[in-house]
Amino acid sequence: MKPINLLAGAISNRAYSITLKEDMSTADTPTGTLDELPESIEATLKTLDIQFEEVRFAVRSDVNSTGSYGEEWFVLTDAAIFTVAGEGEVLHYVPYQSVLGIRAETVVDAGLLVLETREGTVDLIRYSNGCAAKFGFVARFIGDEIEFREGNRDEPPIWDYKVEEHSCKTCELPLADEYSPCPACTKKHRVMLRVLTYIQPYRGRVLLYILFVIVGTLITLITPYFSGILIDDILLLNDATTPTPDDQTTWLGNIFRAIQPAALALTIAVGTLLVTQVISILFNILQSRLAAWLTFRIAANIRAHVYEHLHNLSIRFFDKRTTGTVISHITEDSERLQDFLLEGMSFLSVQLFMFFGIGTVLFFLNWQLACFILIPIPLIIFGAGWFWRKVRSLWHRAWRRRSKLFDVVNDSVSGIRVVRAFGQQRGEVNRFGSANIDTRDYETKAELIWATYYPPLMFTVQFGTLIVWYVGGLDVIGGTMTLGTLMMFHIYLAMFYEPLRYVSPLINWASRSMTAAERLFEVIDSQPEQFDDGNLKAMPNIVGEVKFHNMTFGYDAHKPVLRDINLHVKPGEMIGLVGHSGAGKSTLINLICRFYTPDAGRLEIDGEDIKQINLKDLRRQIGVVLQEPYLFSGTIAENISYANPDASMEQIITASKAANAHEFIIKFPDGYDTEVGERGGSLSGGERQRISIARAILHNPCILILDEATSSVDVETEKKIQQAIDRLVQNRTTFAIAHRLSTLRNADRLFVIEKGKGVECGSHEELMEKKGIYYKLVETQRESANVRAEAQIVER
Amino acid sequence: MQNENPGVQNTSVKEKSERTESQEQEDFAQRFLNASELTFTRSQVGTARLEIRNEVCHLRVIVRRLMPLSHPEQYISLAADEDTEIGILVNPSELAPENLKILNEELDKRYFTPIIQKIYRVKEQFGIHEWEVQTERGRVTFLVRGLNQNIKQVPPARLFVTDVRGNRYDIPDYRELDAQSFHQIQRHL
Repeated sequence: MKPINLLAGAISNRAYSITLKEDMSTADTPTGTLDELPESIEATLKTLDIQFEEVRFAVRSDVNSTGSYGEEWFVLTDAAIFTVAGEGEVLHYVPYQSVLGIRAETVVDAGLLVLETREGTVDLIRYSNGCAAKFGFVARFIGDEIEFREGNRDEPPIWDYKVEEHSCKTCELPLADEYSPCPACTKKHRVMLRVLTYIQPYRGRVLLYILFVIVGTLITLITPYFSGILIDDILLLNDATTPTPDDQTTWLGNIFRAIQPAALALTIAVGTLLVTQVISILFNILQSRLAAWLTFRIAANIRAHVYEHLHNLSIRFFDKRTTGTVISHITEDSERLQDFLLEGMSFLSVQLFMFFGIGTVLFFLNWQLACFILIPIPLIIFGAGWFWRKVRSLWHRAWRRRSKLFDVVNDSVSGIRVVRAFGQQRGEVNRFGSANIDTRDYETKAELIWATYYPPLMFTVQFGTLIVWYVGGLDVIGGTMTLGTLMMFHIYLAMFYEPLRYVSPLINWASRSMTAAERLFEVIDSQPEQFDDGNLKAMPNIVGEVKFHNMTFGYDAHKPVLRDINLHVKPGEMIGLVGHSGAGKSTLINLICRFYTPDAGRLEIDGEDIKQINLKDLRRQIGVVLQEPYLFSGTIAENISYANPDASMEQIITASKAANAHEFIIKFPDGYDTEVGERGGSLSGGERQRISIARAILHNPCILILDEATSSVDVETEKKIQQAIDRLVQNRTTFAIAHRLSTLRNADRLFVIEKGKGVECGSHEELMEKKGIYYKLVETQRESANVRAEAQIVER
Repeated sequence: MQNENPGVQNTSVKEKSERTESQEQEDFAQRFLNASELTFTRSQVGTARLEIRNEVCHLRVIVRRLMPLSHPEQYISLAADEDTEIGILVNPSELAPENLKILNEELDKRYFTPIIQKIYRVKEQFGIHEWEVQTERGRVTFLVRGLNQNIKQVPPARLFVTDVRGNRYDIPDYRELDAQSFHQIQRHL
């Protein structure tokens, strides 16, 4: 591609670049913060027969102009914009002076930097979403600089590029957000250790638990041993039909041989078995009870810790996650961890101890034979591993089909009216039918695999037993081993192989629990909001002066929602925020509440940067009335006094009186003790709104925020609410958003936001005179109001 | 989109306030463009220019697929700027080849989604999967966090994978991948 040369006006261009440089002296020189331009490219640019000044900054794109992955550079020098291919070929050359505007256009799964020049629109450079933040920033910065050049802006933009992609500082692994800890650097074994720190307070009981496990296992081990003695030293010895076996026996066997008559020995032996079994059960009970006691406490502690931490996190944490994810952190993840601690830990510890305990005993009994039982172990572990993996993925797929089936049902039942109205019953039945058959097929497949492969898996376990029968049987025939020992071996063997079958699912289970634990720790490790780190300024008595100064903000920093907001609000003033939906009104309010902090510029309250104010002080003095007032389950009185739990009944009544809420509350049979239930379901929208206003009145904030407080109620109720609001706003700095512009008639000034920019500001009269955006909005509403009025007349 | 569009030089866009009622009525009738009347050219600065015979010339036409998943090669919406649609071209294949070429270049510019042709490997570490794949735009390695949320299946077998940086990758039919690639993702599905 030939470089697009837009050299028009190159002479005046030079003059501009000099003035620019002087003006730029206040801004930081942006070097090194974006990408480092390779020297070869810089050298190429210098060899060009066009004027070349100092490189101000360069940005690397990962996509070339043909749309393949590659390298391409955007370079801004003092006088021009270049784009250069990775190999050094200059693709575009545009004198900075002929640039009228620049924007980062979002296309499907990528971005495009577009330049408006005196010669027309130029598609400058393409980039993948990975580079969107960089280019978005560049577009904003250059755009601001051009506006400054054209005199539409008072100050040059400030170079405040922030790396938006969050990666671990030590290992560069990308992270979910700036608050997340790095999963690689919080290693798995560390997670395990951290779970153990929650055990710390109960270490006495944990030791006791371990003791129970050891004793219980030892007792279990006694049983087969006595069985052996029972056969060799009592039954076979005293069996009239067989010849007396040779006297290889143990010291314990000798004791039993000495007891006469044999029936007494039998009684003692069986009695001992009974006692050991009873004791074993007893220990089992104790151990399980203790495990339950411990794990639920540990899990509850983790849950409490996570929940408490959650409330201290920045709102941004919640933006990036759905409510479902956050809830599942608290419930599912902690439950999974708890299950593992309860079942897994006790199962694992007991089985592991058994495995090694029995292994030792087996080798002690007959090491040659014990070697043989090791043969099928790899087969069991790998066979079981393969089997569980297969079954698990099949079950998982079947489960997915099943949940899809439920979705179909949910979908059509929720929309049953629509289904009926359009007569689509047959279609819905068919949709269910195909999902149903799909589910059937997958479940059958999973079950078939289970049915086919589980018995062979069991056989691998049986295989070891067969070896013992054969090899041990030969020993018995050869007279080197007694029948009792062989029986003993068999009973031990069953215990020995048992845990092996579950090795694979257990590992899987353990790793899933560890993942759950990791997710929990991710919440715990996330950086909380800075409430008070000692450096923040305490402001117990805010007057209510609010000042925006060139403030820019976006939820993603490269997509600004608000740009260069300038507004100075005097204490006690009421500002009506006006604009189309999506213009940025609610975002402005979120910033006043300091749910977010500005990306650029300043937001000051009483002359103090909002970032420097103690959050507790700030929030205590801000009151909010939202469009959809949120009432918590509890009584009306509790809801009114939500922010001031110590308020007296008199204060609550006074507040609700001022909010025009008292009149309807007294009509309820339970008065102020009426339960409002979840989301205040039993109250009407207007009633809930008045309760939330009473809440704000009682809270007595010096900065008040009304976000569409009257939009969802009828005209009569609106009048009541409006009255209440009028009482509420007195002597408070108020920001009110309303679509119905008539509700803002008491506002001292109106601030009109259009596409993220403050475009008009002034009183109703001033703005009507100006005949700008506000005027148009008012006219449109008046028209539709007339239509509505006409319609009402017709109805009558 | 909140982008301001200061430098649009467009002969077809009229000031909204000046619109007559009949023109507003016309806006509700969808315009389907006749391929034989359209001419695409490259302007000097590289943008796609659209000329409708005997009517207007748009300096920078914006193309959008109306059904990018089911009919990517048909139903192309042509617009003069972000908000002003010119009309819909149902069958771009009816265009003259040189026109079609420019249209396809513009579509390629606006629809980046790389198509995964081969999967070399998918490696999991700390809940983050590293994919190394071949796409029609070149070989690339990317990271995916949480496969469940970031692989979207479009029935029957189309997959969209979203990586940590917000890039999306397309597997039109995972059953048609070669055995090794299929094996790599099947393990994780």
